[in-house]
Amino acid sequence: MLKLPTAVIGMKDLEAIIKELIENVKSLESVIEGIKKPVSESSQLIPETTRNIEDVMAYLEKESHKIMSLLEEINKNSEEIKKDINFLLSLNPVNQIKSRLESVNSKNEENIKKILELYSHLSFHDLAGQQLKLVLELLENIKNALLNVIVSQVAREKDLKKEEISGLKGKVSEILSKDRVSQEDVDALLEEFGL
Amino acid sequence: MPMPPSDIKILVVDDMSTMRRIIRTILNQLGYSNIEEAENGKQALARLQKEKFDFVITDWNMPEMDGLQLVKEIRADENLKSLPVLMVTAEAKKENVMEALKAGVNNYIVKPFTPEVLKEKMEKIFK
Repeated sequence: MLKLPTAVIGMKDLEAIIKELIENVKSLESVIEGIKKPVSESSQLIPETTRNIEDVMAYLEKESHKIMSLLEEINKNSEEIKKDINFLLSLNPVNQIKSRLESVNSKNEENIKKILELYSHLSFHDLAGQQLKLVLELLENIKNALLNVIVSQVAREKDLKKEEISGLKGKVSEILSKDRVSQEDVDALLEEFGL
Repeated sequence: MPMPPSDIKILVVDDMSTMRRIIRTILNQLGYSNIEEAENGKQALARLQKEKFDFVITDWNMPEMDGLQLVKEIRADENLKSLPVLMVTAEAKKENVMEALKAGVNNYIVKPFTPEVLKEKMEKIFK
């Protein structure tokens, strides 16, 4: 840390202090440059990740419906089998056939029960979806924070006037007030910032 | 004398189409066939204020209006306040159950649930 001399300083001392100051500013610039790239990359990557998660959720929903449709068909068939067995049993078949029919009937009933159980297990999609929604919310918060970081950084870097900063902040808050920030909004903003 | 299941008009409220289908199928298997659906609390409340329903099964986490708010709205409405409500949700913390009970739900099921659990809760409500 730079220490300001308390006693009267000579020209040479002053030169050394200014040199040190310039070096500090330079190193700070390289730190800012180092931050600028990941911040810009992350703000591009987050909407992409958000879209991927939304795609996963939509895919899960579509596939769950397909499985349910197949289960419904199996269930329908089992109900038909049940009706046919009951009809055959009503004809009073000989004992040997009757016991076989009863056994088929009980296995069929078991299958119907298991199909129903499978249905309830499909609620995994809903549970996974709720967890993914939390991840989406988190990503949205990170994205908003990143946009705010970019605004502050650009405002400092470009030495913007007060009115310009408040204009930028207004634009960002307008975008952020939407439920979800689109990639197009982010790109337009980044372009404006020269990122 | 209790109503036969096929006469009971049920509104299933969930933002996930798969969940609505799961609940509808299980209810059908249990003999309940008069089932309508809504995607969130707001949609559900609008339907409840227009049509007569005997029972509501609702999720907790939904956009627009969540299940907890829906229960509060139902209990605050003079025409709906005695409508039985069953909450089917992934919220499994004790404080969640307490909050839902305080809001006025008649029973509470944690997802994932078995058809037997749904049957038992329905019977308890309609006993």
